[in-house]
Amino acid sequence: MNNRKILRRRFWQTAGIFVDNAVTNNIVLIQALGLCPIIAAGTTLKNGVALTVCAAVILLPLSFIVSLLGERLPKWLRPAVYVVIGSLLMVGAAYVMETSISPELYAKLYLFIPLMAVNMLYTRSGGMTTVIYPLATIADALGSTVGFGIVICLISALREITISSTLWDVPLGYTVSLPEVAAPFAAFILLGFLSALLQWSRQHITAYFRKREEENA
Amino acid sequence: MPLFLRGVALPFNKGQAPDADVLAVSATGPVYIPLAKEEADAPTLCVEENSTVAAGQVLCHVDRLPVFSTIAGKFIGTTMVNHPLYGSLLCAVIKPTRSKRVETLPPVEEPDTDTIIEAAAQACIYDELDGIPLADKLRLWRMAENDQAALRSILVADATENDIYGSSAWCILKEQAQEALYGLQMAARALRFSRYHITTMLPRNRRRALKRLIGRENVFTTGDEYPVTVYDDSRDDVFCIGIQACAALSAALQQGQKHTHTILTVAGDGVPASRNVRVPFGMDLEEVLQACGADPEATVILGDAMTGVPCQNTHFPLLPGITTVLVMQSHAVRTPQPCIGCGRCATVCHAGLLPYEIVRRLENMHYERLRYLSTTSCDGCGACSYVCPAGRDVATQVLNANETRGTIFLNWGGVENE
Amino acid sequence: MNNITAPHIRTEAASRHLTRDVLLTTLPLCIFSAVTYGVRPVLIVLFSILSAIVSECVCCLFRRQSMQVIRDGSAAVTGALIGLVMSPMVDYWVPMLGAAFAIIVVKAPFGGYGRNVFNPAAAGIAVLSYCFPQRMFTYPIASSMNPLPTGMSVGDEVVTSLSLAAQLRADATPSITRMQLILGDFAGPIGATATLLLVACAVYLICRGTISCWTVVPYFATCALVAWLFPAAGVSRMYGVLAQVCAGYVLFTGVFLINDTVTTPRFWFARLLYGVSAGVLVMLLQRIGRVECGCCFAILLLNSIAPIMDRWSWYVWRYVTRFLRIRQEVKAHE
Repeated sequence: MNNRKILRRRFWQTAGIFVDNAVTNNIVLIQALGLCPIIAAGTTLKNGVALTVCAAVILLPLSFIVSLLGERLPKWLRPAVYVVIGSLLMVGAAYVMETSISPELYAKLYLFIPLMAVNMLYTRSGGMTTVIYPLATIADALGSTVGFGIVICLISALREITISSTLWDVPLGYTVSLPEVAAPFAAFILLGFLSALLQWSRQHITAYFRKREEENA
Repeated sequence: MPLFLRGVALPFNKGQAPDADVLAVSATGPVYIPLAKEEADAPTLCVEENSTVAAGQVLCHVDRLPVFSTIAGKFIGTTMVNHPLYGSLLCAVIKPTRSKRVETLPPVEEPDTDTIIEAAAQACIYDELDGIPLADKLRLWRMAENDQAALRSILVADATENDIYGSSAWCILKEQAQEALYGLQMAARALRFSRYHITTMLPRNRRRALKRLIGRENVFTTGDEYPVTVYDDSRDDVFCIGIQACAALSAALQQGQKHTHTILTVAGDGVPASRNVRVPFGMDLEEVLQACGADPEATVILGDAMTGVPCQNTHFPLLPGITTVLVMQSHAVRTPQPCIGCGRCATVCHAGLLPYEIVRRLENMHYERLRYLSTTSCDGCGACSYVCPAGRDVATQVLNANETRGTIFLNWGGVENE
Repeated sequence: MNNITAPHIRTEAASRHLTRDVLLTTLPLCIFSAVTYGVRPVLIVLFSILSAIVSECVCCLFRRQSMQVIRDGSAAVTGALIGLVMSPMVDYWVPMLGAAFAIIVVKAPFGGYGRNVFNPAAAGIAVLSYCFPQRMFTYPIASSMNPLPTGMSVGDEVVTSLSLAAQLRADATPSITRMQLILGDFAGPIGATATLLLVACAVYLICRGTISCWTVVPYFATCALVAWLFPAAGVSRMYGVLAQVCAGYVLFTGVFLINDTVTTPRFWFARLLYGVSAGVLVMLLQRIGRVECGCCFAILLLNSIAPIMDRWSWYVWRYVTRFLRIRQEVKAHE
């Protein structure tokens, strides 16, 4: 009984962290990180998914390592170490992309992988050191990745539909197209509206999870 | 910089009142003479209850200054009265009788600094601009002998009546211009100022007549945009007193009369015609309004159209500091819309403020920014509210900002504690 | 009773009178265009206004606001301004799209009239000129007195020409005389060619107090100065000044776009600064920008710094006057 109670509490805590990172404290829409890849490269759904995979490859190990190192490092050394780890992971992500996803995509997106790595670094170097148990670290990293993925996939899908009236390179059967949506301003406007939508629904989501956590505390 | 800061042109509607004779209204109901703020501070009275008093007979002394009855009648007792401007007041109640007995002071033969101020104090002359005793003002501003500043300083008798309806000062200029000038001269002598003049914005023909009567050099004419600058805006050595106070000072010095009556403009669309009435201080406002034939349903506003205070109940005594009472049937009530940024409030603000910016900061709760916006320079003239096309109460908000500024910073642990 | 506050008398002027004045001035411009091109330009402006008003209604529904908001006329002004800068032969859906964009994306999310940061009309025009430069900047020749067809789109039978601004950008020698420039007898947008009418509109609006001469005069002075200092190749200096100020959107911007009260500074000194910087930026973007209509981008850029301009110029002005006054007093005491 006691064990189940603890498990349940852990579950809702972890779910809360996941949802917090994926939705209510979304790294793109609320913290305004990782904007550059979305605005410049998020023009087709394929790009979007590829960038999400890259984010996962960088983010998951990075946050795990950061949480392991934690407070053992002196404060002045942390940024340097994180940058080194981040760039190593970035090389790994680039390798994964070129070999196992598609070389053409890599040729298109190679510019944005370092940008994304640095952006992810920003999110990690701050809060992660205080998380207590490893499950939370994974939930946190996964939440951030999912949050980034949802936004970039949504925006790139919308833009792909408007630019070339296709989705995942499949024609949708009509010909109205607006190639100018590939320009950054369209992505900014979409981000703005999504952010407003999230702000509007945010308090309800947070309230729900806080309530469940309190119930199981 | 007068080139860039200008007021607003008001639609003047003074009617026939400035040219008509002043209507003397005598009290039929009781007259209330304020004695103190609270019952506990009641001064010791010199007269007994139910005894007859003459107009000008001293009832008691407050801060060594006399308080006297403004009409001849019977002293009944004291009561608490609620006044919309001064709050609750302990008042002596005088019931008028047939008697016309008037008590006067001995006239002052050779007035000098001290005797003039003493006469102003004994005659209890109030400045009608702000309701402060004239003697207090003169004592405060009095310069030492051989002070160089006295040569530069200017004493101005304000007879501008820079309001849409008000015209009481113009009546003084019509009936008692020379007396008012004498009073102004005496006040300037009391202050040891060498320069003084009467400021008006009369229409051209009356201005010319006035100049012929009291001398061209004694009259200064302002423009007629609201709010007027009584003299030069950039000077801080201009001192201002009311024209009625000047006339009263003259009467006190020459005839020894006490300041018992005031001239009041009753105007607005709730009265048949706007007119000036001479009433004793302390008279019930309701009686004055009835004498002028005011519509009992209309809103009564104490003060002028730009800064007046609406009052619900008109049963309160008339006290110094009020020269206009408006009776309004129609009322300019607008539903406020968002600011559209026309910038007219900044154009008309004679203090050179940015009213729209102050209001925005206040609405967005950026209180720490208010200190950069010089909100304390606002004197609440209301020109910004008047011109606002969105119908917002800009002036009220700016005055709120003034208050908010103080309290908010106190609450924040004295970050800024001015 | 308690909600009555001083002053007890208010001006007659209301917010909707300001927008009404602007709408009134667009009327002669429409008529001028209708005389030259037939009914089509009028229809373009009307459809644009309609689209703006419908968008405003939709936004009102979303914000659960009363529909009475459209009575202030600001949506109609936005629509009219977007309609007026269209080519007379543009498809009807183009200005409608622009007006809808202006209201739904640029105006409503910030809180509607009085709270928008950017000028909605300028933003609508900017998006249209970025997305459909072909449609926006192809003009029918004005002197062909045949009225344009009123159908959905105009076919190839209409003789088109480059606008004057495009010719000046390409350093070509324009064939338009000075008289034609002043009378507005050249190819261009619906409401931006009638030079004399636009000047008359500006004078009318200044007299009504709707727009401030603190912005308009410095703006035109700066434009003329820039045009005089850097004349286009192949034309005389004076002609260059006239052509560059009249061509394209410079005049239209000066009368309508930079005077949108919500997005411009309010303090006189800030307005002067705004006018001068708008003049410089407009002339610069007109010459080197990607699209022919650089004005709206200049306006959008300046809108973002207008509040800062407003505040800081006031601080500076306050400081200077206080300093001068203190010095005067010190002198007087000496």
